[in-house]
Amino acid sequence: MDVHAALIQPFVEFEFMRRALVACLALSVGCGPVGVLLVLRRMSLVGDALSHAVLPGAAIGFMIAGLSLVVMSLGGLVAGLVVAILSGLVARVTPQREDASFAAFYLISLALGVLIVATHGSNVDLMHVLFGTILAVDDASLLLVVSIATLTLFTLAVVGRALIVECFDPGFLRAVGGPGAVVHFVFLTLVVLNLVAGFHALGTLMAVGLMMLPAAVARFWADEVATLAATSSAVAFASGYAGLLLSYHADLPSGPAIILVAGGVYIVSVVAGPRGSLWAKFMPRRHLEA
Amino acid sequence: MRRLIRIDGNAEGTPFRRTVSPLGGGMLAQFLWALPLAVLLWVAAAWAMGWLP
Repeated sequence: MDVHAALIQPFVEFEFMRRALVACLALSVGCGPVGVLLVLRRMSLVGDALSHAVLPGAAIGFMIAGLSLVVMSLGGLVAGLVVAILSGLVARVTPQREDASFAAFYLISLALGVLIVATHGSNVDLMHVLFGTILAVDDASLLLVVSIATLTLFTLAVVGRALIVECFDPGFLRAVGGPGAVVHFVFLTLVVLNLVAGFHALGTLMAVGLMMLPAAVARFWADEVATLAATSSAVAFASGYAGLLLSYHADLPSGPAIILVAGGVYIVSVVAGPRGSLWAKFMPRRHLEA
Repeated sequence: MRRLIRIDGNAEGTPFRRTVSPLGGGMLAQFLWALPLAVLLWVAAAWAMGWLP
């Protein structure tokens, strides 16, 4: 098998592979910077919780309109935002911390969503919602994913600076009159939107994979926020490309293949990345001598 | 000096203010990185959906 046949031919020959590749590109562009901001805000597990929180809304959309893209997406968006708002509210009016309230609400959401799908659909529908099917992305799904990525890009262009300042120095943002609460809500909306996009391709269980793993990888390769975001997007797209090829040639499920490739990159980065990895810690470079 | 500027937040026009202002100018410059990426995405989507010749 030559290089062209192995690396390029599947995308030239099959339209479903092209759609899956571009869906990966769109997810990478949107999820990369959002994942980095989640890591910088120490909210990595909140992303995971929100990805499960999307499920009951999508399930109710599924119950009302079957496998309708728009209704399921709207349901997922509303459910994700409701869980984010309720978790924040509980954390502010009770002594409970936000991570605990997020965990409680996401577990309720996940159970509710699985219950709705299981009682109103078949096992195939449940598997589709939980694990997604990136190779089955149609024109409408692709347009949705690309639209969400575009919206994410332009929103980050407008509020990105405030988001970064809020990550590192929220007190300063308040001092200069920055709308901290609005910025936080816009950011959570972006997280949920990108999870809804990822949910169509990778399912609710792995939607967060292309958001958090590349962002975690980037921390071992870059220091500045812009470089972190670019690295995260590049790793996400490379994982998507390699995962699709692995899935095509080895006849594996595409979603887990993509996430496992990203996981492999993460393990390599933990061991051998240039910034803060095990290699950098235990094999430090020698100091310069006069 | 920088610490003082951070505390009072009234240092209009100083380099620090220009660098980190959360709401200040430079919006057009911020769009300069987002626009090409968005165009690339839509061209790729058109290619995937068979809209390009």
